[in-house]
This record gives sequence, structure tokens and C-alpha cells, in this order.
Amino acid sequence: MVATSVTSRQTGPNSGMSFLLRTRGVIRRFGGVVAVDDVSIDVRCGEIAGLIGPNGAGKTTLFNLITGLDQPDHGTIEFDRRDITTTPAHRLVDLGIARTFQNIRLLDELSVADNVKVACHRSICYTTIHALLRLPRFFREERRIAARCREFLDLFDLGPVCDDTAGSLAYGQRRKLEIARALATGARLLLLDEPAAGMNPQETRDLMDMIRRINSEFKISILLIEHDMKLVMCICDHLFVMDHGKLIAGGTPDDVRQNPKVIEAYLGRRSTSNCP
Amino acid sequence: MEYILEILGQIGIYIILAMSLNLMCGLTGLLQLGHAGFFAVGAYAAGLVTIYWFQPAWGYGNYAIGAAAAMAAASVCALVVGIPCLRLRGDYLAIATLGFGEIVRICLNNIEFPGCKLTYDEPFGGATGIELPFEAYYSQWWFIWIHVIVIYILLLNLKRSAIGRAFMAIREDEIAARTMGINPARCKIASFLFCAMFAGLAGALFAYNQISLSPNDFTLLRTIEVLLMVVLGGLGSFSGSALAAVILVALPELLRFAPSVGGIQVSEYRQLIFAALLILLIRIVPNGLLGVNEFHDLPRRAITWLRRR
Repeated sequence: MVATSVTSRQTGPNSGMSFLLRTRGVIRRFGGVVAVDDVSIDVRCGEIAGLIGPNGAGKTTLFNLITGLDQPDHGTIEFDRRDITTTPAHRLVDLGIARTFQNIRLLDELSVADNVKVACHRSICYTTIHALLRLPRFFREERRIAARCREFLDLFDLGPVCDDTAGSLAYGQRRKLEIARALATGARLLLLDEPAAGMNPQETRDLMDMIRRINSEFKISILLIEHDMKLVMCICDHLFVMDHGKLIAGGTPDDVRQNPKVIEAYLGRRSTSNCP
Repeated sequence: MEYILEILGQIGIYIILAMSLNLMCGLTGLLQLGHAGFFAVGAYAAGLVTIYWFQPAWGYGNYAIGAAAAMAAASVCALVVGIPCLRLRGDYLAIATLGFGEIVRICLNNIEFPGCKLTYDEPFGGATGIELPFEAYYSQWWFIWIHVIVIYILLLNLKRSAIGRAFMAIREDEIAARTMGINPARCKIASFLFCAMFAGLAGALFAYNQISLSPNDFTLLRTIEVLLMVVLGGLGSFSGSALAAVILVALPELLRFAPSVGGIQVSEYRQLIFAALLILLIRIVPNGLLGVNEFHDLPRRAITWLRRR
């Protein structure tokens, strides 16, 4: 089965209910604006956590802090009990953090297959000399990477377009490719920034199934930002709500749904949505 | 015949220069305008090594030592310039490297290398050039072309490896590249190093081809010429750079032999015609002659193109 052959990293030794990601008192200021104000969240191993909040609440900034694209002014971020507060983004990939972006960031001029191959960069073990002179190890590694990419692309039904340039894909396929690429890094924690943005209801339902599958088959913990309440309430085990940079609520979707603070700040009225 | 072979050698040197610049500008997306500087450092390093330690008995060994010195010197310069400069982006990097190129040329203009025979004394004085021993003419046209082929293959191998993919990822989207585990600083330095190293090697070949070197061979204009080849050939296509180098060196020479039409000596207007043709070419193929394709991609491209018809 695909899942067993693709998953390269198992969750940590004490994966039961331990915390995979933990932020403590994280603060990030931009001039006078406090984009992230004293935020502490915990993501458990194997769960799907959601991060919601109105526009400008600081959700993406928090993502940037977690993924090392930005550094917090105060506070600590721990991943798998290791302090990663100041670890640069490219090193976090080794630890197993991968993300997608709100405004899809694909390598448009490169082929679909190459986009996924780039994500395998850290796992390739040949040196520049091997590449320049095309020594046997180069071919061995490239074959391994190509097979691995193929598996991920097939999983997302992107196999038939693997030679097209990423820029020529349709919107839904671009979203999928970005998730495939993030998975190919060998992530244990996947951060999805508005994965359902711009999708129609059918595509959103497919995406929900996809996220559940990634979570259960690959044993990957997921933290996602999303504005689609239906999606969030249905698939998340745990929710965090941010407003004006502050964490205003946290808990199960039902708790959050009934939290007066959340209703006031964000939902406006009691959500009546049902799971499909 | 000798003339044609001389041009052929020149084309070869330009191809190496264009391909190495393409590695940085086309593949990694870093605009660099100090290429003539690295070319000069390579040429002078090889030249000086040969002037001081020339051994007639060693034959091509002299060349090997000179070429190694050229590549080492250019790489060291790339490191010295690169580490502080690669924090800069876009135009700023271009300006900083342009500065490097000019600094090299001005330094060479003013440094007197002890024991070197000057090629000519300008009325205003100053050291204006160095002259290699005549026996050091190693860069025959075929010798240059062996280098062209080897470097072409090496660069293609690099492009189609994880390293090349990392370079292209940085060009396309540096933030996305970082989140996929690519260290942009390291990749940019590596790209700069390769670029400078091959430019240095081209410099060595140039030194052993020209015998006498003068700082005026390494002006900004030379960088612009090479950049023109890179853009005309297609950013990211080494084959394109090679093709463009052939066209841009051969075309002005061919126009010398243009026949006179209706009493007008066409060859006298060759610079004008050349410029007009360039503008026309860029109008027709804005992405360069080959785009991002290499020669070996072309049959496959042609087939897909025909199928779509």
C-alpha cells in the first residue's frame, strides 16, 4: 500500500498524547502593531488542529514564526520537545515541519515532477561531484527520488500531468500539488494555510477527505488555517481562535462554537452547519 | 583560414563565459555584472603564473598550473565578493558586482607587476598590460573547444541534478525553496562560485590565446556582451547561450563580407545592421532563442508541438 511505503518518518517515541508542537508566549511586533500577542498553543501528535480567526488576526504570522520564515520577539516554540525558536526554515524540514501557503507558492517554470523532487532535496545523498560526473550514486538516488515523487503525484491524481510546467495547472491541481510537495519533504507536522480558499463545495469536500487521509494513513499531524467553518468544524480535533493577535479561545470545535467570546469576535451567530 | 580559426577560438571563449554567466543569471536568477572581473582575474592569474614559473619542458603542464591558478583566484574573489553581496537582491546585487568588475579593471590598470614585460607604454605611463612567453600559446581553437564541450556537459549535469533544481527553486520562489529545505545562502554562494570558476577558466584560455593581456580587454562592455548572449540564448538554457555566442561573434564578422548593394558598401554599416538584427531577434523571440530548452530537448519539443497541430 502507498501509505506504508511513502511514510518515511514515524511519529516520536512517546507519540501517544504527547505534544508535537508547543508555543509559549510568542510575541511578534511589526512597528507598533502586535501581530502575534502572547500566543501559546499545543498541537498533539496525530491530531488535526485548526487555527481560525478574522482576517488580520495574525494567523499567517504565527505560521511564519513556526516555520522559521520569521523569528518571534519573545517566547519559545518547541517541536517534538526541541526548541526551534530560532532554527532557520530550511533546517526545520529535517525535523519534519512542512507548510503550504495562502497564495500558492509553486515553482511555476519547473515541471510538476520537479516541484516535488525539489521537496526531496534534504533526503538526497549525493555530492556535487556525483552530480557533475554522473557517478552511479547519482542515478541511484535520482531513481529513488523519481519513484517517491511518482507515488505522491499518483496519490493526488497528478501523475498524468507530471511533465507539464506547474504554472500551467488548474487552480485545484495547484493546491493539490502544493500539498503533495509539502508531504514529500517527509513531514510529521503539516501546516496548511487556507487550503480550501477559492475552492467550490465539491472540491472542498474532496480536500477534507484528503486531509483526513493524510492524517490517518501517513500519521501526520496537521495544523490548518481556514475560513470555511464547515470544513474546520468537521475535521478538526482541536481549535484555536485568534483575534487581533491574541489567542481568545481554544478547545474542541463544540466548545469553541459555544464560546461567547468567539461568537462575538468572529462567528457573529451560532453556527448551524452540519458535516457532509 | 587562420582568421576563421581565430574567430572559432574566440567563439569558444565567449561560449564558456556565456554559459557560466547563465548558471548564475539564468538558473539561479541572480543578476551579476562583474563577469568581466572574474574573467580578468582568471586571465591575469594564469598569465602571471606562466610569466613567473614558465618551464618550456613542461609543455601543457604550464597550462594546467595556470588554469588551476585562474580558477582558484576567481573562486576566492567570488567568495570575497559573494558572502557580503548575496544578501542583496536584484538590482543591488547587479550594482555591487558591477563595482567589483570595475575595481578589478582599475586595479590591473595601476598595479605594476615586477618583472613583467609591458605590452606597450601609454604616453600617460602606468602599467597597461602583461605579456606571456610566446611558447605559452596553448589555446588553439581545438583546445578551447575541448573545454567548451566538457564544460557544457558538466553544466548540463549540474542543471539536471538536485543542485540545479535547488538553484531553479531559488530563482522561482526563494521562500518556497526555504520551506522545502533549501538553504538559499549556500546555494547562491555555490552558484556564484561555479560561475566565477568557469569565468576564470575562460580567462586562462584567453590568456594562452592572446599572449598579451591588457586591462582594456576586461571592460564592462565585455560583461554586457556576455549578458546579451545569455538573454538572447534564453535564461536557463546553456545550449541557448552557446548558440547566441556563435551568432553574436560570427554575425559582425560575416557582415564584414557583405557585398555592396547599389554602390553602397553594406559592410560599412555592419554595426547598424547588427543592432537592428538584435532588436528584431528579441522582438521575435522574447524568451530567447531556445527559451529554457537545451539542444537535446528540441526533438521532444518538436514532437509535442507537431502533435498539438
